[in-house]
Amino acid sequence: MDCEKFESMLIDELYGELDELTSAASKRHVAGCARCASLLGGLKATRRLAVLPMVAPPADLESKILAAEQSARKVVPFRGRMARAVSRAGSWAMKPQTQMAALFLLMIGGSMAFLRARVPSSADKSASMVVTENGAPAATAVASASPAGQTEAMDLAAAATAHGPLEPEHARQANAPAAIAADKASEAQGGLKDDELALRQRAATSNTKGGGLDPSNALGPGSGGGMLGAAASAAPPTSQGAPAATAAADGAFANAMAAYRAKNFDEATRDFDALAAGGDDNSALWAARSVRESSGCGAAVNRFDELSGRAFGTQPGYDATFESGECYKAMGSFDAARQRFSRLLTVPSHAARAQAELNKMSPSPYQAAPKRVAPAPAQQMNQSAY
Amino acid sequence: MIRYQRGDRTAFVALVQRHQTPLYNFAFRQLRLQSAAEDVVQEAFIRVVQNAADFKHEARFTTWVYTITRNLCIDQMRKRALRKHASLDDARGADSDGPTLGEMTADKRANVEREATGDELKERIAAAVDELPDDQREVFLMREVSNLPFKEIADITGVPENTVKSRMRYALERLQAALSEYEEFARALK
Repeated sequence: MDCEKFESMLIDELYGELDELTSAASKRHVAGCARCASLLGGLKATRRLAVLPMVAPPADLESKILAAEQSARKVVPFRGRMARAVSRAGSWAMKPQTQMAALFLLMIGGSMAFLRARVPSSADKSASMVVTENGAPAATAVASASPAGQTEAMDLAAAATAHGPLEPEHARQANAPAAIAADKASEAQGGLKDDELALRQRAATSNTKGGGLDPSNALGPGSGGGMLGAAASAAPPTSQGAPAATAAADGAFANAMAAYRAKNFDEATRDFDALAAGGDDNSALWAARSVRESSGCGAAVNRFDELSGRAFGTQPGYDATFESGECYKAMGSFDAARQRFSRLLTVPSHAARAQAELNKMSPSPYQAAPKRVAPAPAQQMNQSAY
Repeated sequence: MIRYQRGDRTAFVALVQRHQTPLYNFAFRQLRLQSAAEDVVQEAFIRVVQNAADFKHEARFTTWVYTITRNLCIDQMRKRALRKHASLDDARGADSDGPTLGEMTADKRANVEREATGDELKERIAAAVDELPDDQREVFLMREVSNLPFKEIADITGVPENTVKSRMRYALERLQAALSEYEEFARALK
């Protein structure tokens, strides 16, 4: 170590802030250098001499400071108070117990969010959405298919729902077409089969007859997740009358429908006839259909006519009239067919279809035959000239 | 300080008790007036209270509170514009019959040898320190009175550590020159 380097670390050596190795090197240098030894010794002596005694502060300084602190705390600016609160909250948040508690609550809360049962509101109930076999939402299907007739039918259904149970005959005219129309709308969306429609017809009819609408009965055993129409599902139960009998009848109807779907038309005819004997027009309609499927229109048309004459004004009666017309049309009896379709032109739920059938049918020979045109006088004159 | 930030007021009492004496001595040696030093120390602790939430513990509390005190002292000295300090021989008190500054700064625990030199040496030491330039005096006081390391003094004054050491050396050399007639006595001190 030379003198220049020693001088650069003189103060550190004086105040003992050098590491052991450097301090030893500086001491060796001082031992061999009189100038640097004198320099260091002079500063050391000055340090020892120039000691300033500690002056005791006034006795009341501490109390003054603490009093000033009290008043200063009261006027801590809002930002300072907020920062202090944040600091305090932060110190709490940094505690492992707080973190564990927060994590635990988060886990519980998250689980509850996933597990909580969704309670539908009244609005949800009114617009309940039931999924069909094809996965198409029923409410959407009804809403999206909106011919004028469907709108009317839905209004009727809503009116029936809003006003509660109606008189049987009125209810039959209000609820049944409404339910059917809603179903037809769904069918227009490609959703339903005839037998499902039949089950719903039956549900709507039984509802108007005083029995509560039981969705399980309305669905039937074979429909497997079939759609319950919005109008039918919205209809309130009207009474608790004869639930056991209704259930038995629905079971028999479902069995008959199962036989119909299995193409056991004789068995289906028997079952539907048995039900029809109890006054069920819908069963009578299906009995006629079963006969048509097994024996053809010739055997079935009388059944359709009989039902049409007896129950015209009800949904099965309208259907029987329409299908009677179809049978006559298939048999070539166009006048008879035209007569039956014409009867339905005043029935809103069937008018469009009946009119379409009338349009498709070829005109009668009387209407189709071209009128003979009288020959022109000139020709007559020419003919007479020859 | 962390405890005080959490609302523990007893921690503030402990801070005051620990730091008030060295702070007071630093301010007193800088300002040379007891009342001014008292006000400065009190104001420094009030600033601590007001800004406690902003203290981030990136520096030591000592560094922070000395920085505040130093700035307050500089403000005081600027207010006085010209440093017209009273003579060490001027009597203090309302009736000018109080102790002199030299008497007040005298070390009561001085050893026998120093007592032998009498009050003259005490006055010379205080006067020599008083005559130091401000930047050298503050470094000398922080190192010798408050016993702060050079690194911390550099943080407080905002200059490099080597500059602090240079100022310290110049201060010691000035004192050595001012007290040269006591050099032999000083070399004899252990």
